[in-house]
Amino acid sequence: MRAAISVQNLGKRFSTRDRGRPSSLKGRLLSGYRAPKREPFWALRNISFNIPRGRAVGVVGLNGAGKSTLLRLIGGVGTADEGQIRVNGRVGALLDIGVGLTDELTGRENVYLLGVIAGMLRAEVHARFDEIVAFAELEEFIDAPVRTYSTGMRMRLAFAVAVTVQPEILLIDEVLAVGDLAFQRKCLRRVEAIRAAGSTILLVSHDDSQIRALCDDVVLLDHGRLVAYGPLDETMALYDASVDAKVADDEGAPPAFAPLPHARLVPEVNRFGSGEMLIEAVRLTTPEGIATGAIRAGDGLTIEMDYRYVHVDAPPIAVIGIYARDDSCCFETNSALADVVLERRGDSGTIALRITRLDLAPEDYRVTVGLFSGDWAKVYDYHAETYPVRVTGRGTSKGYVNPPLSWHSERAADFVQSTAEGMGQR
Amino acid sequence: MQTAYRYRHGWDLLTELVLRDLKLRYHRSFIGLGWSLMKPLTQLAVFTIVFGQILPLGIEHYATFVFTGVLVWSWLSSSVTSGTGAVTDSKELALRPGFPLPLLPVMPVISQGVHFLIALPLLVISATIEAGFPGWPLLALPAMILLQLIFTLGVVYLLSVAQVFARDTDHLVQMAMSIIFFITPIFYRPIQRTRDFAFLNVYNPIAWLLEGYRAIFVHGTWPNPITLGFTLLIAVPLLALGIACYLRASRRFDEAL
Repeated sequence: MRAAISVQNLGKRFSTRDRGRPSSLKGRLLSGYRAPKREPFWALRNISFNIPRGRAVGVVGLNGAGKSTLLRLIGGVGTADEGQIRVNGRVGALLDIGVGLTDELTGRENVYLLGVIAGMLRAEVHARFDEIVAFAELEEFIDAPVRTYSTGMRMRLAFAVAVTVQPEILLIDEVLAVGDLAFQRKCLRRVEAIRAAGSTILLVSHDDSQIRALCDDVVLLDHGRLVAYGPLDETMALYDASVDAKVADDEGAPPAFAPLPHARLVPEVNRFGSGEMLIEAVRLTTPEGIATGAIRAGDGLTIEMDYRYVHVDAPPIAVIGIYARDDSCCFETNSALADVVLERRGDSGTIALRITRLDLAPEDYRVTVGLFSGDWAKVYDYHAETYPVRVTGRGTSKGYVNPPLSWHSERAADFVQSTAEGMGQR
Repeated sequence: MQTAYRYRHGWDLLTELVLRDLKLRYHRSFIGLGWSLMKPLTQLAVFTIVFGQILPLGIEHYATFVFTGVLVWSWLSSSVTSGTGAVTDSKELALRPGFPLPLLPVMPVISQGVHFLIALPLLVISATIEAGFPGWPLLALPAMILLQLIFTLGVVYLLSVAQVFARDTDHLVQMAMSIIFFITPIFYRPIQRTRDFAFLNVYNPIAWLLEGYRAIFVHGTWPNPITLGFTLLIAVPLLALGIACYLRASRRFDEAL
């Protein structure tokens, strides 16, 4: 069976000149007739995927990833600069569904107008007129001018017309959030019904729950590149990670993998100890070993320290802790707990603590390291809350812990039941 | 999709959009479509008083003569001025998947043409009163209308594309139209070939069109087939060029809009 949508090595270039500012004669004249310098900008590049018939595919990505451009190209608006798109079947689109909605005309007139714009013949609109009006729940108002409608009523009317078209391929861009919750559910059900009838669906949305509710597969775009195309859960996990990274950037965090800022050590202020052993260097790295000063909540962190024996020979105990800004200890551990003996090569050695997941709330923290004698009697060297680390991400409103979590909203009865079961198990 | 279905859909779309345009224009006004007659009628009144009484030009059947000019000119100029923005003013439609782009410039021309058609009976009445019923030559009227349609569409296709890529086009068009109004024999008799500036009328397809219309209404004769042939020779290649440019450029509409 042929793919419903086949995209091969697609590239779409915009000249920056055309972005935002319309070209004007004045501009040309002032720039001395020279054509303004065009800096091509690839809105999409090297995109290839096939969507089999009957699949529902979500398209996700941050703003500017090229989602809408991709959808429009598939819908036949504009031409690709590279590669090609093959679309097998009649395309229907739920994009800008209000286009053509005319205030001064009655609901009835608008149904015909929108229906024809959406790709139906007038006869087809006529045949399904009652169905459209019933779906929009506007029977009483259908002969009133649309300017007397509320926003919700207008969108309902527009949506009702749009979903009446029975396309083989349905393109949806951010329009399922229409009207009240009841109507939104109805819209989702209708889209599901269209899908059940065998249509292929391509859905652009920023709403995770819609993607999860409707789609089998997900295409993840980032700055015009195809990052992933695969099953829902795996691809959405990648998307969530990219959202977190974006949030971190917006909060002004140092870019991930930036070198650790120089930490100041002042004796008797944040450095204590007998000096019989010295901590010479402390490094914070990602699990891949790249130095970092910021990580995403849930990522791993490795804390490494180099030490030197000065006046002692017995192996010490290494202590590593993470402290919040208010000096509370979020977490501290030591090598004795794990029965680890610090290795010694000549006078020096290195010990590393690998934290697989650091599920801390987004905040700035400081890392404390210390070396103690094997019987805890002496402090050799202790760097108190010295090395900064920033955790970025989202998910918590209060507190230090940021466990992996998800919300599940259920009807009251189910909820009580499931809670009861949960209690029973405990 | 089958071609027949596409054409039927295009037709339905065109009629719905033209109907919307007409409904909107006369919505909530007392005399409705009557307004489409008011503009040419006022112009008619002004021209007959100024150039018939105050500064007489000595043209026979002047009311019919100038009424023909005014009606033909209004259709042409209003189509061209509103057609220039056909794509840029309907950005949302132009960017809608599945919307037949070549339809956009046709809409304003047809919608203005409806006003022209509504006013035509008045022209026939005026001609009948002043110069006598035109008779058989009226049968040439559809050919004239078709010719003007082809010519206007050609111009509008080109200008609507130009407007997409240079947003100053509409200002230039408005300026050009006010000049063309005066260099075309709309309210005066075509300049004789021997006189200065005769080229303004001799090499002016709009003047050729007017000549054809006036043969029917003012003189009750058949339009000169040679002039019509020349007009056709200009109009058809113009339309072909316009559509070709439009189709080529429409692939880039998505980024220019």
